[in-house]
Amino acid sequence: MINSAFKPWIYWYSSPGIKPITDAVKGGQLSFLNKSQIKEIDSAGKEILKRTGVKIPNKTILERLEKFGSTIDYKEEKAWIPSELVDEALEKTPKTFNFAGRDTKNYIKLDTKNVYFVHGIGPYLIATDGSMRQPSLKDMQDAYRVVSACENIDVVGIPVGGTQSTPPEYMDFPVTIRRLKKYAMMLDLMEKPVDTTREYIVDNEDETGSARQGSLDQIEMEIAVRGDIDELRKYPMSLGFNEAVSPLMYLPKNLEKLIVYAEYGLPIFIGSGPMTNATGPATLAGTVVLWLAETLAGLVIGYVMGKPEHRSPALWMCFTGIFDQKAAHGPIMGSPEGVMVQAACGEIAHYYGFPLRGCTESSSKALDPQAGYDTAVCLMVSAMAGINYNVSIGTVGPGEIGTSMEKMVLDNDLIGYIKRVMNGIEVTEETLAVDVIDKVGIGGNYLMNPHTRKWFRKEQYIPSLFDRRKYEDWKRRGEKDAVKRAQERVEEILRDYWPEPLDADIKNRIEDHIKLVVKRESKR
Amino acid sequence: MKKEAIIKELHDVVLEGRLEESAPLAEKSIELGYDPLEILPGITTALRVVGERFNEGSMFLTDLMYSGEAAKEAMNILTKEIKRQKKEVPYVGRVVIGSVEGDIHDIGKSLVIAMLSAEGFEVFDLGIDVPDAVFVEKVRELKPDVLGMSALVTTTMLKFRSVIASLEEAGLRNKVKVIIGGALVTKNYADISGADTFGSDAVDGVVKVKALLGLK
Repeated sequence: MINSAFKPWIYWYSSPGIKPITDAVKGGQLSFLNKSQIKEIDSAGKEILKRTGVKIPNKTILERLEKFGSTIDYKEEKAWIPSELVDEALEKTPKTFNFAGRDTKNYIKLDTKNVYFVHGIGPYLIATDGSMRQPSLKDMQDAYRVVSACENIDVVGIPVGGTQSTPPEYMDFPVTIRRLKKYAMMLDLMEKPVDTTREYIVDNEDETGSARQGSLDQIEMEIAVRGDIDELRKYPMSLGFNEAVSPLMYLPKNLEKLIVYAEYGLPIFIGSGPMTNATGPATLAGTVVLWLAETLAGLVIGYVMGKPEHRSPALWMCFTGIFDQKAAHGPIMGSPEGVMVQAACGEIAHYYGFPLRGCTESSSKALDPQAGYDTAVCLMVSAMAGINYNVSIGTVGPGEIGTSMEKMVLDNDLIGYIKRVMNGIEVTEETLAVDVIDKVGIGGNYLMNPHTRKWFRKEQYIPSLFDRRKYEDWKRRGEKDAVKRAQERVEEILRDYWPEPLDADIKNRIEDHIKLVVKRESKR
Repeated sequence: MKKEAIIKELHDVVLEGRLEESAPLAEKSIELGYDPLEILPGITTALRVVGERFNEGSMFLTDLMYSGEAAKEAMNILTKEIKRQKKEVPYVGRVVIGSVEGDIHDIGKSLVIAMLSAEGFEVFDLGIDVPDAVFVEKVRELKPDVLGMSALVTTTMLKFRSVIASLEEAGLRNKVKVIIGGALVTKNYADISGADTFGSDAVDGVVKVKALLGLK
């Protein structure tokens, strides 16, 4: 039951029966919009698509949209989308799906209720004092190990935001291969699902190949991991990222990716992040309307490009923040307004039946009280509003500029708090404990009682790093503040914890696939 | 069942706090004719592990109390047998402990008792709301190495001073070390009361008791 290697922070791994990942907390305790407000936003968003239209720089898509009843201006690459088509796409697009990494046992189920916590990405490694550096291959591997050991983080992100964080060891390879190698390295170290929701593998700076080819290379590798496309459709490993650029524009490369995912019947990932004051209206409601128009356009594109025999499910996203009038930049997502807009977008997505991904990064540059406050308040609101896929855990700085290993382990405790609150208060005959209260009687205590023994672990979240000991006890233990304790925990994990190795067969299949791509690229 | 197997099983029973199994297992070892002095280490080693894990935060208070209780049940049976065989139980020291008069809190005290037992002390618990005279009487009767007093609130903390004064009057103060404890007790308060030392919490209390007796 308890072995000598037992550590609370790897409880998940030492107790096969307990897998919080498939036992997600449910959101929706908090709401900002009532039914009639949602309906007003719904018709306003649809009106924008009819009246203002959206820029879609892809001829194939425009032709398809025209066939489905949209008005097209081919010269301006603009489409005006009728509400009937939007409603059809809303109705026929699958709304829930599973998402997993290398191991289909550790899957998450994206629907309107489940709430997951997702490690963010940050191109740079940030030390506790705020100093930043380009991560090496080993730094990245270390970061994966730390996040893997955090039992409350459901999905792991990748500290690789763009080409600037490619490990120096991989820089000699063409971009496509670089990305595949990074992906392979992640799968090697990650048992949890990997947050491939962003443009990780194929990015917009891809100078050597089309986004289409890069997406195909990635999907082929995932098929190699799963065995076949049907299994991959059952447990997808990545999503066709298609972010709109506010206001009302789509990018050619993102559209190419979306088409590939729609053709394969793999999940698409649609939405935008208009910034209040700048790329969106100053009013929160107006920003929600703009976001909705852009997101619905993405949904319609996925729908018209998809195949009826295997339609792509959709995860909606909102990464809205304010464009800060004082700092003169944005988006500031970890702000009251940012998280409220995202929560409202979540309510609208749920109204149609879709899950939503949100983002609540802190703008603090160091691992300081602001980083903690921003994250705590915004993540709590986000989760309780039912945003289903919460990214940015473990990052510091606006734009998730950095990954902080220490913040990962601290956020892990914070998420424990949030999950606990969301699980609420269970009221049953057994939890009412009348018999127990009667048995203990007047005086005495409940500490050594079978009821306590059975329930305390379930009823109380016992934080691993947040310290509640008495002052003298804290003093005796070296007067360590949270950051110091986090540093020690990171050291401890890096010393003691290694994830399960990747299955040798899968590893070989991945390597074979990469060899094929290398061969193809060398002929170019 | 072999002796080694019983020792190992008793160790696990205590570690996991399997209360119902510990006494029967101890009885079984006696039925099988094993020397209780050789069985005892199974319990004490487990208790030490429990203490370490509680200290590092991978086992919790209720776990600790269950282990302590499981150990106590087995220990009672083994010590009875040791005494029956006219041998000596290898305690590291004797402690008398109680909450002072007017104080009815006993959670902290129970914890200290569990942890002292884990460290091999023979502990006599006088309970809660113990009058000064009873402390004095028990110190005289049991001749403990250490007297522990507990009080949670500031009003009852004044009692430390009066018990110690009574011990002085009875000529017993120099025969026993005194440690005080409770949520609000500080070093300064220990000095004012005339106690030898104080425990800031249960773990610290055990460390201090051992230090008083020159044990490691």
